[in-house]
Amino acid sequence: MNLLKLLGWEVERMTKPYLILITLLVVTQFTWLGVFLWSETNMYEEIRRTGTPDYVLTFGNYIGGVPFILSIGVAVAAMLLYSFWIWYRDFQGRGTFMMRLLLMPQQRMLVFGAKLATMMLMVLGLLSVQWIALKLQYIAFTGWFDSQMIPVSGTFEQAIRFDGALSVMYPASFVNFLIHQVLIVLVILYIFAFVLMERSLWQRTLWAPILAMLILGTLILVPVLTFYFLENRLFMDELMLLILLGLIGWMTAAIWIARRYLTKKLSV
Amino acid sequence: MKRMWNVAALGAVVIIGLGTFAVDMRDTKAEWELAVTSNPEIWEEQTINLYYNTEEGDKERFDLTTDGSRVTTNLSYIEQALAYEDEVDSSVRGFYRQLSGLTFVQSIRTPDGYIGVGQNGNKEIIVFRLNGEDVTKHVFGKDVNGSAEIMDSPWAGLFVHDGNIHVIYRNGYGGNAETKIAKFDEDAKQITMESLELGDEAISTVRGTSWAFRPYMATIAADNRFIPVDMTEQTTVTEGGESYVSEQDKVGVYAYDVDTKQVIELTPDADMWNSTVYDDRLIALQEDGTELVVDLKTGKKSTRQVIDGSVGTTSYVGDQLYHARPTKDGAVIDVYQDGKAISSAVVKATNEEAKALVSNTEYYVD
Repeated sequence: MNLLKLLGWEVERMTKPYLILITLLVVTQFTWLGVFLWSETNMYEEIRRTGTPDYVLTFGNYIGGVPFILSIGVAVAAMLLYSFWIWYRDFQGRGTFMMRLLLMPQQRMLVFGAKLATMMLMVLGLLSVQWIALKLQYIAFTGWFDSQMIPVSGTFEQAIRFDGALSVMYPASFVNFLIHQVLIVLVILYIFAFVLMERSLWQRTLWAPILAMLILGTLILVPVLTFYFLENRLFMDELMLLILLGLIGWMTAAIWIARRYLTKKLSV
Repeated sequence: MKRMWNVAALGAVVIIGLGTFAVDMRDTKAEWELAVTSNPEIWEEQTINLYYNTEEGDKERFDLTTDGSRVTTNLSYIEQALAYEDEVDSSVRGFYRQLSGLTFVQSIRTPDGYIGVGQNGNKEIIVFRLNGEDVTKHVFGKDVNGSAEIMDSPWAGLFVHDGNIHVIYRNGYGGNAETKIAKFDEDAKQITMESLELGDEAISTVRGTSWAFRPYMATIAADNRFIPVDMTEQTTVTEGGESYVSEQDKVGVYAYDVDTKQVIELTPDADMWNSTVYDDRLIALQEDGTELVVDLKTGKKSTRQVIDGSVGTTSYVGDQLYHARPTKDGAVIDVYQDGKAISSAVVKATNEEAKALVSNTEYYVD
């Protein structure tokens, strides 16, 4: 079984919950858009009747709403949880499924690669769906308010730039977008490393999760503390180089730990 | 096979979504050209900043040199780091590295090099001097008389006189605030403070003082008698039976006279367009295109006609005045020094994308 087959298999297993998540995301946002357009139009009409309305709506008002932020938060939380579940699921039922996986005649790191690729496909899929949804929501937003002769200011790009979460999800530079994806890969790698470490130690000690957290926490904290110590002493370009080296180091360490526990220590 | 269809479908969604995003986020393709018509040496080290702004909030920024134009908006982290490396010269890095660990810092540039004064929290005041690539540092701890008061106060800026660094600061708050000058004697490790009798007025800024990393600051002579400053004035306002102190900027050009310890008004005019402090001169461009030149050693004032006709966007680099006049395809930038035109260059939009930006673009040189 090669990587592609493993990937197809992993994707098939997550299809249903993933489609439910996307439906929830899109339905929540478009419902909120409907409520927003309706309530703002009513309010504007009310103000128009009593005097001259002097406030102007922006797309930022809509994406700054609690339902929109919550929908993004739920999607992020779901991705984080699934990064754990994609491994733990295989250990359910006395771990027979994982045992079958580990006994298959292929490198165990192919399983790791397939799970990582599945997670990234899911993350990129969500980002894609959200981007298209945002474009459609903007068309509906401006189209509705234009038809009601209610002034709207600001552009789509500005609304994204000024929104805390969306400006990170969709930065102005595509290179920065790719860099952010590398950071997401790093988070997933550390979750994978945690699960594999915990599953390798769980038969030996009850403290396996704490131990795994402590080891990985130290691995994360030491460079972060070093960075805060050096932050005021280095120039921006030097800091960038330091961050790049740190990321490479972190990523190498996470993969090395995961590989070591997956191939040599994992017990079912 | 069915399993692969799931992957293909998800892959297609990713390609469509992120493809749309990549197209939406594409960099501007606008390109500009700088054609120097006279005295090209002036432009060898010079960069023109092009600012495109619309009422709708669209923004584009470009750097233009004789080598061509470069977009500076929406840069990636890597491009930002490379641009920063170009900008902050290696010769001043040692100096700025010393300053960057401080919580508060101000610096000026003199013919002998850069001078910085900073605070490390409320623990100590540190004075730096950069000569060539050598950095000397003097620390004034809390035990030094006056240092605690200076660390607790907002600073207006620095100047150098008789070889000593002086900091102008405000002691106290509201109606009781008092403008004071602290003289740092680095060898004796002493600070001498002196109050200025300014009544309801205060010095808010010492011109030429920088709050940020600026490697190409204008050089200011170290023995000027007149130190150009900006002033504020306090008035007491009573509203609804309650009184409070309000502070406003004072219009005009002012200077602190080191000899008489008074602040004098150099010109009361409010129509100043742009100004610079360079070496021992304050040069202020007026709305009518004349320059007011004040000799900061003697206080002697003179005026000279520089720009004929209406004044466009202007910027000073050292004692050179750059004046941009918009044209159909971009702008003409004339350079003046000592009141005389010394060079001219044409900024031209070279493609359709750039031509679409011309009407909302402004041009500055730094």
